[in-house]
Amino acid sequence: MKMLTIYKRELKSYFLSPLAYVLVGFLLLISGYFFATFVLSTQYALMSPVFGNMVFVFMFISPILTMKLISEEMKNGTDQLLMTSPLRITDMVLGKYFAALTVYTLSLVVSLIYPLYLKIYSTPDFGPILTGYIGTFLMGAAFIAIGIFASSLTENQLIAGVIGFSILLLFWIVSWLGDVFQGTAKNIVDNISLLQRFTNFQNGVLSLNDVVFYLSVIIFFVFVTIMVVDKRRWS
Amino acid sequence: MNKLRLKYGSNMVLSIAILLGILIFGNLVLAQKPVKWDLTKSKQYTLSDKTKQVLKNLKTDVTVYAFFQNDSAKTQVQNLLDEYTALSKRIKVQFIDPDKNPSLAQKYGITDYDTTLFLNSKDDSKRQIVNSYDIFTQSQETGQNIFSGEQQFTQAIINVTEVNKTNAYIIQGHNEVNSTDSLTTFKSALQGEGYSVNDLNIGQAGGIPKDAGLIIIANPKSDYTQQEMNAIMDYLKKGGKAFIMMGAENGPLTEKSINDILSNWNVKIDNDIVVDPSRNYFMDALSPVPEYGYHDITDKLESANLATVAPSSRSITYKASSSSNISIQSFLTTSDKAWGETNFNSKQASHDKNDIKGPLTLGITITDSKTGMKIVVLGNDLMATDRVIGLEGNRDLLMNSANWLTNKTVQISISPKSLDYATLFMTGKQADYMFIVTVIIIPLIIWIIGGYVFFRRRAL
Repeated sequence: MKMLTIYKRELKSYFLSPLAYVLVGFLLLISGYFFATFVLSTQYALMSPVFGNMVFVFMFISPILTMKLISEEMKNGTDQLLMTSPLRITDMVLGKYFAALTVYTLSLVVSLIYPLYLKIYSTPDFGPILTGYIGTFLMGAAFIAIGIFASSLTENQLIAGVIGFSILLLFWIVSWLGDVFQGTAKNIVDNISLLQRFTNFQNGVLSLNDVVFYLSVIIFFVFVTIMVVDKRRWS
Repeated sequence: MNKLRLKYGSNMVLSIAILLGILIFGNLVLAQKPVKWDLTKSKQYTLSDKTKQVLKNLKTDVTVYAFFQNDSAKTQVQNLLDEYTALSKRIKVQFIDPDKNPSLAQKYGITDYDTTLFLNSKDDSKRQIVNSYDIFTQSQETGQNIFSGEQQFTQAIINVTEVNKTNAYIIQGHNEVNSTDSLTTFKSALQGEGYSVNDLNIGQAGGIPKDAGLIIIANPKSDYTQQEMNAIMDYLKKGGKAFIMMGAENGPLTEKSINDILSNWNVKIDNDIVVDPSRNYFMDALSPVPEYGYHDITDKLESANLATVAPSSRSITYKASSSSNISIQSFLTTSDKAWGETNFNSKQASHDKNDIKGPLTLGITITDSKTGMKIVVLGNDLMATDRVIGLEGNRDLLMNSANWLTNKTVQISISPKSLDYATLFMTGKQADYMFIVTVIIIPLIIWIIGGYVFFRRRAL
């Protein structure tokens, strides 16, 4: 229940400021552009390339969406208030996390107009579209977890944004190392790459391993965030 | 105070380490046995029952060296081979960049990129190369890309693990369809199914070799000698298997040998050319697309909706056998609008009283349950030639026939999966609207709402 209070407060702050609208609108602008140009130029009733572009754009947007979440509280000193209140830190972090996730999910919901278009003018294979949305959601959820972690590190929002983006970029390009290494090292690199894991979803294959991997990334970063915030209380 | 910090600090590091350990462990455990659901309509990423069966029955280890550079071809092959290794521990796959590791490529004589090599791990003389052009092809009709990796890989696994190869002989010496010029695809398809394929001149070989598992007769234009006839009859009486193909592309039927052989079972190749105005390929009445009868050879083709194209066919007439051990089954028939044109000179083909009335039989099987003899008779040989074998399901029909003859009915070939994407049909106006809605209207609405909220709040 306490988490819900934070969640509501945070969601309100997102939608009462222009930030969420600007970001969601921008994400949908680029996604819509990719969707329309791809579909109209190839005539294929496919969304898999669109998902790839959506997560790529969200990689730039998510640090902006999440950078203020915790650093702002620290700067304003409101974190002291939160910490001394009976609210548990876990509730606070989770509430903020789910608020940001809701903003992202809303833009995915609006983007459902793309498959609707495909349905009207063609008979698309909905399997890959469904898995694509699951993958896009999980990837975004992982981005947000990384972003909220970055936000807990500093009270400067801008620095939090840059840190978040750097971590995301690192996760993104780590698969390139796979071409350098051979054997086990390559295996490890391939397996921790967020990008590599995404192809199954794009292809229409729902793999429990991939879902668990994304959930692991999310759980790990949310947990570390809680730890970092908690550390502030006793230091 | 410092002590407290240390305590909390080490607790924090410890809890993060423990969580990380649990997560890594969980992921590693799951990686041992991947759980996947293929949600594509055509089951693009699911192995066929045939492959699963082959992998389940595998008795020897198979090493796979895939010589690929990093490109989309590699990804596709890797995805497929991952499915194999997930199902069978006996398959060991290694990807090799031929530029970085040229020695291995040299050892096995690999000269091209995107080549996959299958080796019997115990006996590496049993090996098969699968070239990139074997697995990446393009549909002749639609120009779409087709990936037939599973078919090729599964066959390669069968081939390198099979104990004995079945010998198939293509009979030559009577102006049959030339096996070196016209049957190259047919031959390599048979080799892919684990046959060792050779030409056979019965006279020179002094009969049909004892190791013959199958003889193939493709439209001889001159008669066999009496000795040759005796050799063939002798082979068949002892339970031999024969694949006889007799088409009408050379005009009237002048040679008698084949009908002499078939007369033993009251089967006759008619001296006609089949015209089917109702079921044919691209409005060409001389290229019938026959209907499938209920038969092991055609069942899978029927369910896979794979048609057969049989240009320049002859019809086959047969009488039901009176003997209990002989069974004759038809598996290809024309529509009832078809007829067998007997006048080869008539320019305007039309049905007249001399012609044979449809529906006509284009393919039958003759089996002798006593001796094990099996014969497939097709009123067509063009289907096996390089020009026509690629059309529709022709290749599958021929391979299924050969495998049925040699009692390898499990080895029904797997049809390649085409990346058959649904296409979109829109008028120019509809396309414009879609672009405007997705690119302009949707983001604009969101920004307008945002602007409204922002300015209203400021005004308050």
